[in-house]
Amino acid sequence: MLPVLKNGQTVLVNRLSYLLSKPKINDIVAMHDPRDDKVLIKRITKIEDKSYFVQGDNKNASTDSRVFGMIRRSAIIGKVISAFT
Amino acid sequence: MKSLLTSLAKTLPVQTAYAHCDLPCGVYDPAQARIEAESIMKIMEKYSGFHEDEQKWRAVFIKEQRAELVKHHLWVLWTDYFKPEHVEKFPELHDLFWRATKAAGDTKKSVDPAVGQKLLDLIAEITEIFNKTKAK
Repeated sequence: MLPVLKNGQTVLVNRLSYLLSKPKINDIVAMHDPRDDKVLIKRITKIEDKSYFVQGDNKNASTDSRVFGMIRRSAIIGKVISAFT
Repeated sequence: MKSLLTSLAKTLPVQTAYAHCDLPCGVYDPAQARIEAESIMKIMEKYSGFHEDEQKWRAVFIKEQRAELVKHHLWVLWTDYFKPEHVEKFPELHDLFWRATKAAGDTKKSVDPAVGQKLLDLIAEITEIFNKTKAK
């Protein structure tokens, strides 16, 4: 997620962000990798029906929906609302 | 406020988010897949000598884990290392990775060393192409 987020940073994720509203394009979210459940941080770049296309900002080095496909709402943990070291 | 959050982050249990190869670190090596495949091969060879159920159960369980790791290492190489120019030069690349990943799956379903050898042979083919892409 360079340059927005750097390796080793701590982010604050709001798990309640999407309780009353839906994830939007450009939201940075914490999500579960559909392949192995690992937590990833990606940006939502497309929404189709109820599926979300997520991408890392560092496109050349990101493993994201281009590899593992679109994700469901259930894979999204919450919205990244702050970053600090 | 930020220093408070920083202190909290240092004291409270925080979960790690993974940014696989988002550095990018540039470290790729088919040896990772090969080593796990060699482990599978050894397990298959030893299996016929096991008589206790506990030994057999553990062998199958551990073989399953190693096979999943082979798949992961192959995916990482295929999706993160190899570029379009490599596919142009080695058009068999996608098919090779498809067959190697299937072979990894096959090693889960069998204890026949011949099945393990097939996986090792396919990883050797991938390694050959990988080395050619690294050669100057």
